[in-house]
Amino acid sequence: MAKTQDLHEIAVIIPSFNEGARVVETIKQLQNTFPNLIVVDDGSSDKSFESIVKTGVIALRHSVNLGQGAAIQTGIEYGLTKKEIEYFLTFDADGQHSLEFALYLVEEIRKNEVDVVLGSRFLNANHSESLPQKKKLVLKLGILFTRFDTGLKVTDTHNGLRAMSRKFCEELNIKQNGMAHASEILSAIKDGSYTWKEMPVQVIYTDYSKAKGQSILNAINIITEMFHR
Amino acid sequence: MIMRWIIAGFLMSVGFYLVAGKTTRHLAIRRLLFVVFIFAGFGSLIFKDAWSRLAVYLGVGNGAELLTYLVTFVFISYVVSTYRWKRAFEEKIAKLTRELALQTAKNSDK
Repeated sequence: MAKTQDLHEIAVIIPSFNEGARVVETIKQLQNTFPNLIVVDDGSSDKSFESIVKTGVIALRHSVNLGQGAAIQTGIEYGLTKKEIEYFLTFDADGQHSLEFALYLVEEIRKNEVDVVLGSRFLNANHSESLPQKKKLVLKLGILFTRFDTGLKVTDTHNGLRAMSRKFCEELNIKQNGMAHASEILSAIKDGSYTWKEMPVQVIYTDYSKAKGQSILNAINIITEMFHR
Repeated sequence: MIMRWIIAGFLMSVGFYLVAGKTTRHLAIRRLLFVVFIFAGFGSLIFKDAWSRLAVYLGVGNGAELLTYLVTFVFISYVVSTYRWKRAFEEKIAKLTRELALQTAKNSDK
């Protein structure tokens, strides 16, 4: 495992919206490993931003709720102002991702063989065992649409754990404020002919996280937004 | 019958030109056409068989059918135009919000 002093070049972007104490737990999980944690509070109405600031990590706040895509773009723009940052890692605030798999992706992106490393729940059958069936269906629809739209043979189109090179992030300009940003990132890979690969990651599902996530109806919204980009 | 397709093609071309256009010129033309549409609406109250005569001249069928086509065209154009405006407005809000967030970052060592 890479030592903490070796990870200054990694900016971990954590978009957060009304995650309460969960985001603090996520920060505590990561902050001893990643010196450059950037948490973007997306206009939360709970008091989580104050808690985030108290952890000592870099904390930005949207004054109004825009969406996860907008929060990630804000985090990236902040990270790009720091010259030492060579890679960006997006990481969910709700506890679905683990440090182990974050380091797994970081190790891969630092090989500099590809511009983007995407986490996938579907490369290892064990990693999608606990995935609710309805969510699996929504994700499969997303995969079909992405293949139609971009031609990329991605197995998990909406996984929040991804690692990106600085070069890719300098060109990336996420305009889809909401959840369609995931599809927009894939489109950016295709449009810019960037190289990419997928790595198997496990997503931890709790009752809380199962209740969140994309419904089939919202998947229709995402597809509509992608057609109009 | 063929005249309907010609009119449909003409309306679609005009519609695409106006809806896709972002310049003040396109905006002015859209507004002008809207005013024309309003006057045409009033005119149809005075000249009750005007739409029917126009429809026959264009080979469309009858005045009600012609009016249906035009209203559908105006409605779809309005929806698309409004959606584009909304998207552009959302982008502006996002940029402003982001700029403020970047300037007020906490625990920043910049």
